[in-house]
Amino acid sequence: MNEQLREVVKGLFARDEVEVVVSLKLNEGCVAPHMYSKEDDLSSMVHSPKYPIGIVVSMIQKKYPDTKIGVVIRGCDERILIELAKRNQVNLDNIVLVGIACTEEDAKDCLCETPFPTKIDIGEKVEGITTDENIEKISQMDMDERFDYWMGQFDKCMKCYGCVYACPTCICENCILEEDMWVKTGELPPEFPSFHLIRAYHSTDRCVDCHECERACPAHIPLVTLYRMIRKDVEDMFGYKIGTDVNEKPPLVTVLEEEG
Amino acid sequence: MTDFEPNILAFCCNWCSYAAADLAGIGRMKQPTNVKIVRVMCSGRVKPEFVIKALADGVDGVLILGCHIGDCHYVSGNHRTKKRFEIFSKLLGHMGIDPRRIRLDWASAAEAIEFAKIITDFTETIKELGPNNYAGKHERATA
Amino acid sequence: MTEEHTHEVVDGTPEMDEPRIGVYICDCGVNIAATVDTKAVTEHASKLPYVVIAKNYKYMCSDPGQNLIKDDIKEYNLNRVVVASCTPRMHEPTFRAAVVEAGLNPCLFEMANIREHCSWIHKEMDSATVKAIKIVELSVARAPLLEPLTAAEVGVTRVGLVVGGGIAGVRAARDIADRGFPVHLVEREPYLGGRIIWLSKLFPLRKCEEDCVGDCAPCFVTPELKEAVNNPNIHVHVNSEVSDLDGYVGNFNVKIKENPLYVDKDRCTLCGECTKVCPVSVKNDNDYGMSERKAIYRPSEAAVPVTYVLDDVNCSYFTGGQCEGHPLCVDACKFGAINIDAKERTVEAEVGAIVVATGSDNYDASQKSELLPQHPRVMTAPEFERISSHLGPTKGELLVNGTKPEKVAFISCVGSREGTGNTYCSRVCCMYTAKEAHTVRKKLPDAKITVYYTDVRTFGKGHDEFYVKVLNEDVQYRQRELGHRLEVVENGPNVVVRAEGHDDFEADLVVLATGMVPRSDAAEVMRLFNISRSADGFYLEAHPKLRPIDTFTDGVFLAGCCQFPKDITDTMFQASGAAARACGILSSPKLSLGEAVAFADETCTGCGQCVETCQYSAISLEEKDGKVVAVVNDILCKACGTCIAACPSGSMQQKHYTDEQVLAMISAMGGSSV
Ligand SMILES: Cc1cc2nc3c(=O)[nH]c(=O)nc-3n(C[C@H](O)[C@H](O)[C@H](O)COP(=O)(O)OP(=O)(O)OC[C@H]3O[C@@H](n4cnc5c(N)ncnc54)[C@H](O)[C@@H]3O)c2cc1C
Ligand code: SF4
Ligand code: SF4
Ligand code: SF4
Ligand code: SF4
Ligand code: FES
Repeated sequence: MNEQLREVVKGLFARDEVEVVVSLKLNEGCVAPHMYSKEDDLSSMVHSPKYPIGIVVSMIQKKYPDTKIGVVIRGCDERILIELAKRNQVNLDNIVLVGIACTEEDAKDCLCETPFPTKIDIGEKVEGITTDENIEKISQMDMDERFDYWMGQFDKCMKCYGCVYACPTCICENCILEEDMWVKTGELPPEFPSFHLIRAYHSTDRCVDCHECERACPAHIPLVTLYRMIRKDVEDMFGYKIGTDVNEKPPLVTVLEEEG
Repeated sequence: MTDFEPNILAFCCNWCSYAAADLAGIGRMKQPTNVKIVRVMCSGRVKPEFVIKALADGVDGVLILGCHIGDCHYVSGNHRTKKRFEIFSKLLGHMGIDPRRIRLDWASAAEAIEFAKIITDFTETIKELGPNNYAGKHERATA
Repeated sequence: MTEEHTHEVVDGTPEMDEPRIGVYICDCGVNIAATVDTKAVTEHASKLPYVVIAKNYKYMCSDPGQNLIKDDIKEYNLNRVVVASCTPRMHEPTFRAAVVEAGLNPCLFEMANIREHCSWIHKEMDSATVKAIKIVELSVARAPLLEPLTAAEVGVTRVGLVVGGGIAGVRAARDIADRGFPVHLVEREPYLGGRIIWLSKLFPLRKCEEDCVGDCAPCFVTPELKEAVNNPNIHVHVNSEVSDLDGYVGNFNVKIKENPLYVDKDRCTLCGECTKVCPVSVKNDNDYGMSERKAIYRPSEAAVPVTYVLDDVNCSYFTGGQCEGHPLCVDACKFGAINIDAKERTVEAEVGAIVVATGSDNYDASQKSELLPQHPRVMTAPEFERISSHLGPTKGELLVNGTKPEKVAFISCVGSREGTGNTYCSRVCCMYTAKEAHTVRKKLPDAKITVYYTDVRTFGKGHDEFYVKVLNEDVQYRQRELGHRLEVVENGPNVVVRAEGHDDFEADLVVLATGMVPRSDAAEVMRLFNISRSADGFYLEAHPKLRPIDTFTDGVFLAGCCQFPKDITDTMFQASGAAARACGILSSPKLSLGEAVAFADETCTGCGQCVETCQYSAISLEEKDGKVVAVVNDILCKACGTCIAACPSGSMQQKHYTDEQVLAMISAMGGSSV
């Protein structure tokens, strides 16, 4: 599949569709994002493991706003780029996407509902995982049991902010979770789950289900379970599907539909 | 439980619900003493994060009161309030915090009776739910 | 713009470092003191953080009460004042003025409501006192975080803009001009006057008008229009449209796209030679296709400016027909009035206030197939106005298909007051129907006239008297229910009106009293001027009773039928009102705006969520120090605070209602004493 990827990228360069391509580079056994240009040797270009490339793209674009960039993406990366575009962090007009479909293992690993981008250049599309045992389990619980369940989880939180920093759609320069007036700093374990309530509320119209937060969490808190539950509500209530259409405005900033 | 006197915070918008509270006062409409009002210009100013903070600080219930949809002094501020709090209530539920502890409602500047009723009903609801002891509720492994 | 007045410390404000709070608890006679132990509240308040002095007084709002505050500010060097008394909606301005007199910024004052929200709604002294203490605690918690603020002020461009040159726009422009302000009057058509120059008589008819065979418009409307054209303060732009608008109250920038008339009105002598040679003939829309006109023509004898005009959509010089390369009219004009090379131009202007007076469209009767609107013997009221006009296609002779009708039916409420569709009443049809019935009676003394009506609404001055007079002119009024079936069916060359509950009426002319509908381009105009529409599609006033002329956009006012259907009298009332409102702005030396506006700090990521949220388009994303951030226009911001709750990072804040201030009150809720 890496070979296939390099071929697609070569094609982009050959047709002058892009000036640079952002992908992953294997370097002495380590994989890191890299910006390739036409002249570069592409033999180090790889597509795995999964890496949230959106933020890198945003950084590159802020520096070179007019450069045509090719970006190698998976399903979640595409959703990330779309959400970032809605928030003016990337400009999709200058981006050409090279889509990779995730494998079945990838999908299982992330419990991913949509493990493929809209346009697939590399790989075969596999069905997404739509069931989440954890959600089913929590849905069966009564209020007190739920609270105990979550507090049991949040007790493990060491406020390392790993989830915040890993999240590709958490773009705030100033995170209010770090402000004492919102979340008491220097207090562990939390008395009341302010930290996680605020973070979950902020995820309602932007969490793209990439699982980076959970991957980053040293305490293995099932954060995405909570974010998924609330995202499902947003879909049901407002018909809003995160990460699908850049022109769709997040429901919390628009007026009520019936009233126009 | 009957002795429990809940401590309730109400956000009222300047133009309708705060005025309704004033009118209820002018009409001497008796209400429980549990609710304290914070005035904001529009219900759209009320961040759900405020409610999180209030619950964290031990407030037993929070009311968010605005103008009726269509009557907001700023045309559509309360549209956002409605959407934000609809979704926020769901979130509280998922986390195991009883969403009945917060309530979004509307009262026009003329609806003094309705205002007094909202205050009375909500106080009753919170009395039934009991004190906000979320902070102490969960037995900690670490404690 | 924002930073300039953010933390500005007004001269004379004491050192802001350490808050020094004075708390004043009012008895309000017995209004508060009977239920709240004000002494206890005062005692408690004196122990709260930063409180330097706490006092209790009988009537804080009285002069001695206010003096107490003023003296203490000086004596104790107070820099924050909290008064616990009645609702701030009542006396906040009083106390703000008092602290200002003592040299404090008004925003350093905070009010706690222990009357309407406490003493008046509780009985038990104990619990009411506990609550009053909490209410005071909340205010005292906020007070240290209050900041001195000054409202932004803007200058005003003393020029008006009126959009729409119907009778409403002309009145408004003349009123503004007469007060000495220059004003741009922008009219889409090549002439001023709008609908009424296409009407024959104008109700309410005065004695002279009842008997006169001519139209009303040329008699007293055209002179009005001429006044506008001749007024040196009015810049008339006919054949023009507003193509772009930005800015805000007092300081709008407008682009006016002027399409050429191709005829110089000052040279045109109305000789009409051009029309004679023009090879292009088209249906005349103003006569609803009942007549033809040339591509160069005079819209109406009542039209102003008084000139021929060339219609470049149909002119064969432009369409590549007969005149291509050698326009015949240009040769025919002995006065050199025609400039076929005239080009469209864009005029840019700065204006301080705007009156929107774009009028309404006619209801399209083709939607009412049961009334046979296409039948040659069925016409709408606007069409009837043309055939009864002495300037119309029949020169004022009532002729249908070349013959004089003998049996005339009028049907009211066509396209108005329906369960589905237009639910509103168009407010002029009852009266114009009576007027038109009167016209028929005058012109055809022997005709049978029947009016099918649902209600007759004649509420204006002189209206009912006129209606009664028409009733006595042998006009049959037949009432029917709105929901009842009414249809027009073919009957040989004529038609028959069938109405539930009434005998059939054979007619050789049926006039449909069609109502008014919003302009077809109302949605675009709405966006251009940043105004709103109500459910019926007409432009929305800021308040139906208290601010019927204003829109939600400061500095933009409404006049005439663009807001809802009205007759000329009401249109004129509103037009003069709108002009007065506009002049209020144009004559202010400076506009002072609210203090509690939103502002974004440097942590903003430019995510734009606030921009989407703001109802008033007050926020824009701009590049600042190499980074795109949200910038609030203080003048547009109405201080609702909705954007603040949309900002995830707390970068957007509202002055006087900062997150910190609200959180301080929330913490005080949770805190100690109760
Ligand atoms: C059949 C009929 C008979 C009537 N008879 C009577 C009567 O006898 N007595 C009476 O009091 N009332 C009568 N009325 C009502 C009367 O016509 C209105 O009150 C009057 O015309 C309202 O004037 P206006 O200036 O608001 O609108 P209009 O006359 O519609 O004028 C609006 C003007 O704005 C222009 N315009 C529109 N959009 C734009 C734009 N985007 N940019 C620039 N210009 C624009 C239009 O071209 C037009 O010139 C009658 C109405 C009808 C339908
Ligand atoms: S899954 Fe986690 S990291 Fe990914 S977008 Fe959602 S909150 Fe952010
Ligand atoms: S990554 Fe895990 S431990 Fe770290 S702050 Fe987030 S939830 Fe807490
Ligand atoms: S406070 Fe309201 S009016 Fe002002 S910028 Fe924010 S949303 Fe707009
Ligand atoms: S919502 Fe906040 S971060 Fe986003 S643009 Fe507005 S002020 Fe900046
Ligand atoms: S002003 Fe009352 S809800 Fe907006």
